[in-house]
Amino acid sequence: MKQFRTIFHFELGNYFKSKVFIGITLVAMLAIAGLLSYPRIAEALRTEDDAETKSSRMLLVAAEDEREMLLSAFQAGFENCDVSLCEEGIDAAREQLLRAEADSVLEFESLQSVTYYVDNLSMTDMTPQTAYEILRQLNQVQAMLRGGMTPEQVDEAMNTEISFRTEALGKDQGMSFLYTYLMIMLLYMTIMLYGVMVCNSVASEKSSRAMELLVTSAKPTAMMFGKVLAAGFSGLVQIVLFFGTAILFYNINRGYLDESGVLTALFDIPGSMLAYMLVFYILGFLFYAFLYGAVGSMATRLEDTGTSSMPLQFLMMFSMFVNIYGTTSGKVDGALMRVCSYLPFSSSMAMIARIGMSSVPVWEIALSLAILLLCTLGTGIVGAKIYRVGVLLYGTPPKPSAIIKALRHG
Amino acid sequence: MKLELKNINKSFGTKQVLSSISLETVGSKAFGLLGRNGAGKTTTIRILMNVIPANAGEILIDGAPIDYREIKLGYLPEERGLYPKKVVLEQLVYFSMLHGMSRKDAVREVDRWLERLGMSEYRNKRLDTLSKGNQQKIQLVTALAHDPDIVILDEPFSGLDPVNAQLLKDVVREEIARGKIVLFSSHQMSYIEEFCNRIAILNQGKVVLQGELDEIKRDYPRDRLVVRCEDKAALREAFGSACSEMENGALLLRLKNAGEKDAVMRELTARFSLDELRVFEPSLNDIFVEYAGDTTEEETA
Repeated sequence: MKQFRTIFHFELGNYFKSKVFIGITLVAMLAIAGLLSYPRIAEALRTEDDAETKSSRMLLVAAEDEREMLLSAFQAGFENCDVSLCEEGIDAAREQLLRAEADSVLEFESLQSVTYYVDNLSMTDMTPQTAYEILRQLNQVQAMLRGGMTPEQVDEAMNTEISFRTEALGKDQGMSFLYTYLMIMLLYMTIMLYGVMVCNSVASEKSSRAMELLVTSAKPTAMMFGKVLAAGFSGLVQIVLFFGTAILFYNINRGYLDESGVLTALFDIPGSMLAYMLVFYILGFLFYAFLYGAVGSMATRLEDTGTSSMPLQFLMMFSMFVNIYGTTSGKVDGALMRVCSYLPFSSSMAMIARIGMSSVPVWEIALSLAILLLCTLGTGIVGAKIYRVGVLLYGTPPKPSAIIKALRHG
Repeated sequence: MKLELKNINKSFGTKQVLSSISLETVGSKAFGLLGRNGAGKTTTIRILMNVIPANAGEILIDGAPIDYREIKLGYLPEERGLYPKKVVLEQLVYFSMLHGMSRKDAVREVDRWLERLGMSEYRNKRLDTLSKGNQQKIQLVTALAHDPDIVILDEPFSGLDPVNAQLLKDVVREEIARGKIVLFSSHQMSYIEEFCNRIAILNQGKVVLQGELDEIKRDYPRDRLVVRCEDKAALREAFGSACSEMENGALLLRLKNAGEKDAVMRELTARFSLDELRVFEPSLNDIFVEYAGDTTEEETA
């Protein structure tokens, strides 16, 4: 235990004293603070001129008898646009568009036929859909008026109020998708980054031959657990710092951010969910980190770790893709996701997704957790054994059969 | 204190690496473990250090199985290596703490050793800024700072200049004088001859020779004569293929058996004008070549 503590502190010091670690953490914290403060800063810097110049200008070209009706309808429909008539005809309007005096032109051949002119058609330009909807309503109103309805009757028919309420008895996937997805991405990235760090740390000790001394000074289990838990702890500290910064700046800038439902969804994680996620997150990380440590012990040189850890990366990518499919298609309780939520190499991600986006019975969570916990302990112990054998092997990385044989023979 | 390895066997898969290795040494003495590459020295050391388990056999201290919580071992591996990017003091304290020392004691002892080896000025420097010889001295501290009962030194003199080699010799003598068991593994026979009272030669995982170095030399069959004379040709003619030339120009005369030594010596004195005539006493190097030679070199560890 004393050895474990010594190794844990030494390894933790390696992370916390590393300029790269400190640098990346500070930059990421600043970036999070900056992103969350951006709307407030932008608001403070915005002047009235900016507001004016920012609104886009739309020109309407139409027959004389329809102009006023169209103008009022489009002004109401495009509130953020400066909508005006161009009485000189389509050529003049196109000229203005080319000189960038206008941003878009709508030419109405009739109320049923319209052409939309724009300089560069943006991917997110919703003008055609909005214009189509306005015209459809105009046509409906015209038809009703022609059919003999009074304007009051038309108004009533067009603006009937319908009360519609949704109550999700389980989870609202629209709300939980974001934080679930974020959590899975975070887990994936942490395993990738810190798993590789554990792997490289072992491999570099081996290549610098410090291992010769380490292996004769400390127990392999203490070495493995010390290294992996130190990496896990420093990763957790980093994530706590990132989340802390995010929560702090979200609360500071709440007034400026509230309109955006995305952020509210992100910061609206229920406490119990956060606890579940944290447990699966930590165990999922440890499961992989032990395997990465074992892989690192097989490599003779630092350059070998990339190829040696390929199978682990494939396992992780498989879990990730299953999760992306499960969460985006809404089938979080599908057969594949259910199976994956019990397999130790994918259960951390799959269970986080299922807990986040559906209602999972407690016994399923408990079973998955028990399997993952046992397997994590198992990988820790087997990983340490592989480590003990692996660190003394130099030359070509051994084949799995050779490792099993070596494990049996001690 | 007496250290015994009794009937140690070790195989990796189907390959038998050590067969019934039995060694014995006591405190205040240095023990030389010799053997060619792949003879099983490193495996023996690793088993002694509890890094890998033996398939059979036992390790005893004063007749009782070794208790690794009680007996402290210090190791200077042949493959030197520490953390190149770390500060000297920090890593030396880390290694001492791994051997069970408190931080305070570790810092005190490391400082004392750095002082003893004239390395105090490098205390707060990164290891990779030091010369190779100085790095070697730093490595020595990892083997000694925690005051081990058994010190295992694998090729301790390789890479050291004569001044540093002398410093290391002094340190090793001090450790021996303090009653410690010092185990040497080296190919540099001169150092083994200088330090070790007792040696063992391993060949293909077996102990082929073990004992007090003086006795081994004394017990060596006295069936060879060193002869130096003007007329080498006449001597060669008289003794034919039994006569071979040594590196120093003298002739080595191999007798059929040690019993005819006196008669042959009398004959030589009578027939030839000799500059030198003596019974050949092998150096450790000769003994090593004889016992560890003529096997194919193979890496086992």
